[in-house]
Amino acid sequence: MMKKIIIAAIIAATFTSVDVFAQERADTVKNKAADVTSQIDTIRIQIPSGSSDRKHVHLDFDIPFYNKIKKTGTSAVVGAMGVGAIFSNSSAPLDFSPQNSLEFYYYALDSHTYTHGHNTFSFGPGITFRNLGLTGGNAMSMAENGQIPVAPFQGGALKVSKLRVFSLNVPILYSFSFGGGFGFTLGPVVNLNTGSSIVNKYSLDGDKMKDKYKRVHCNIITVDAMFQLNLKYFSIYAKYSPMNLMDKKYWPEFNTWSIGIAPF
Amino acid sequence: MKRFIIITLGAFLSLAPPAVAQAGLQIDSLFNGAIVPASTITESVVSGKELKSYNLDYFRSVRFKATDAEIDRIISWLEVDALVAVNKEMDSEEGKLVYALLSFPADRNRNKYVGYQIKEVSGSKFVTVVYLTGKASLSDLKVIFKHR
Repeated sequence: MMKKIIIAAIIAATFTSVDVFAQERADTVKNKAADVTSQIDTIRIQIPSGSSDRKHVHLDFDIPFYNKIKKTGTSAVVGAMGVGAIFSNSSAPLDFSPQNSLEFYYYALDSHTYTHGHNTFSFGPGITFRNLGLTGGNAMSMAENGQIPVAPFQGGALKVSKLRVFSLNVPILYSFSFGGGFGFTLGPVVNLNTGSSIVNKYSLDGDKMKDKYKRVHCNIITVDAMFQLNLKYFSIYAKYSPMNLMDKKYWPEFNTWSIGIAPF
Repeated sequence: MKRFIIITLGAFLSLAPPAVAQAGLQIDSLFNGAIVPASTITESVVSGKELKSYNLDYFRSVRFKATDAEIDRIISWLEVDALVAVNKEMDSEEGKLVYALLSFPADRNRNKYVGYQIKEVSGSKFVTVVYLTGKASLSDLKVIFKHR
């Protein structure tokens, strides 16, 4: 019985002594704080007036969460379209003329703007229609073995012989804005050339005629380099296709580039 | 019966809280309206998921036009709090503290910070004091706030 009383008392005393010890520690800390505070007062008095003691980069506590505004900026889905003339380095008889060679593209871009609106990254799906027309009396056709001969048209009065290519695009573009609606855009455009055809329009004995050859062997994937100068109300673009649009097994080799206007 | 009383008393004494005070900050007095009434203070309090991307869970800021005596009082609180800070950036001009960023020991992985600054606008002195808690490091804070 006595043993139990003693053990309970020891336990109570232990925790009480911890409390007392803790109180003594608290008093000591308070006293030390008071000592240092008075030392700080002394030091403060000793600092001469007119002096600055700026050692650190000062944060502006009136403007918190500033990095979020800086970093993320805005994002938007924007449409971008353009129409332009296509030039090529193809040699005769396959000499496409820019007056008869046009392209039209439309991109649905997901744009993310950073850093006060100066830098924008955009990507998204798009489509492009390309028509490359021959001059003179020459016309393209497709032989049974798939080869594409280009020769003077014999079947009537040729109006136009065109190569048509339809592509699905993925442009990956970077834009920089100088402000006031001026800036530039550049980046690659990946093309998935899904369809190609040759169309010859001619008249025969007063009737309008059309011959069409489908699947005329375009290369499935090509990549173009795009540059665009953004002016306030419209843009001027240039696109260069360093890769062969058409399969060189069946076509003569040629490259194309286009220049045009993008209204928005 | 006696045994029961003694053992029970011993158990109660063991549950008595230690007499060491909670590590509250002196600057808490400012947030509790010790200097200026709430009606003259511009105060912001943000908590919850809005702060998650900043690695913070609590943000409190008070800003008010202060007299020299009020500024001295705030400075005295900060100087006491600085004694228990693990990191302190304190700058003075003409012998008076004009900027402080204090970091306090982490409590359950949550860092605590107190920031203080004086800005002089058209001859009046405006004091801003911020209190933040969260996992954010000092480097994170230096990205969150604009630099002066």
